Amino acid sequence: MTSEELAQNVLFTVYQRIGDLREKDLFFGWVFKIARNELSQHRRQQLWRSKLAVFEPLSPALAPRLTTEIDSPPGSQFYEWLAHLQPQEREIIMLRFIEELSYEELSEALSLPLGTVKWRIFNAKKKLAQIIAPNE
Amino acid sequence: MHGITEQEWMDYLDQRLAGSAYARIDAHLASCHKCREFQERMLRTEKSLAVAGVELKRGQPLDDEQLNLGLAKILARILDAEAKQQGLSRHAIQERLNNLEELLALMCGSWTAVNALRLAAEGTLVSSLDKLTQDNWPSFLNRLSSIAAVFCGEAGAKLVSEYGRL
Repeated sequence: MTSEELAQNVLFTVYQRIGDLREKDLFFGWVFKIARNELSQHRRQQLWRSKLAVFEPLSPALAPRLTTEIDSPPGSQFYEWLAHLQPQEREIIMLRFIEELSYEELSEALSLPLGTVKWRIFNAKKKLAQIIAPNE
Repeated sequence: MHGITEQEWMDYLDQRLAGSAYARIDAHLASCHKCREFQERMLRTEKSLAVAGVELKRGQPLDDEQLNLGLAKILARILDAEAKQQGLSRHAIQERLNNLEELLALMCGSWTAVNALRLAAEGTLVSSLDKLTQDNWPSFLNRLSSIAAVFCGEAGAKLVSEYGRL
């Protein structure tokens, strides 16, 4: 399944379940929650398929390319910073600073209590401060 | 750190701290170089992340043609799903009509059954039974139940309203 198909599934689910939205102000958080569930389901399916698949060894020419190519835009400082965080922290920092979700929207998107959202962001920022704004 | 809890730091940096606590931290920061340095580093980090995040988002705009194509596909899926849903509803309505006709025929005869259904449809302001939908079905069923009360008695009317539910 391509990323475009995944995006379509998300929008289709949004259309089907719009009646379940409790607070209109949390719309974007709710959409991200659906997107996150869709992605998790897709990853589980991929994992299951990969367990069933019989792999052929990579050709010597292809292997180095696959291991060095990064799935992010080249030169992006933001992704370099994210590399210093745990996956859970990366996700919340991306949603906060790229998608600009509020704490309340993040709470809805990640199904986390508001306090946990604030705590996770604060700790991630403390870690990133060591890299972005080190002690002088 | 220096009498400021992590919770207070979080709220202070987010400017969500209540007045007196805010003033207390402000006063401490005025005299504590270490805490002020921490505050400045956290604010610089916040600003850098915000700037880089927005730049990253702006750097990956979605092409209009790609967006329109994607939206057209979604719309096609939505229309397809709605058509299937309507098809199912139509099937359910036809099935209920057949059941009600059988029931009325048993109670009052087939001529009365056919005419009761027709009269109820006319009373619901639909030109024919084919035009019944999920929306006008409750009104149709009410009228049919009233007609059944006349022809078949109260027990018949009750059976019609129970049996006719979608």
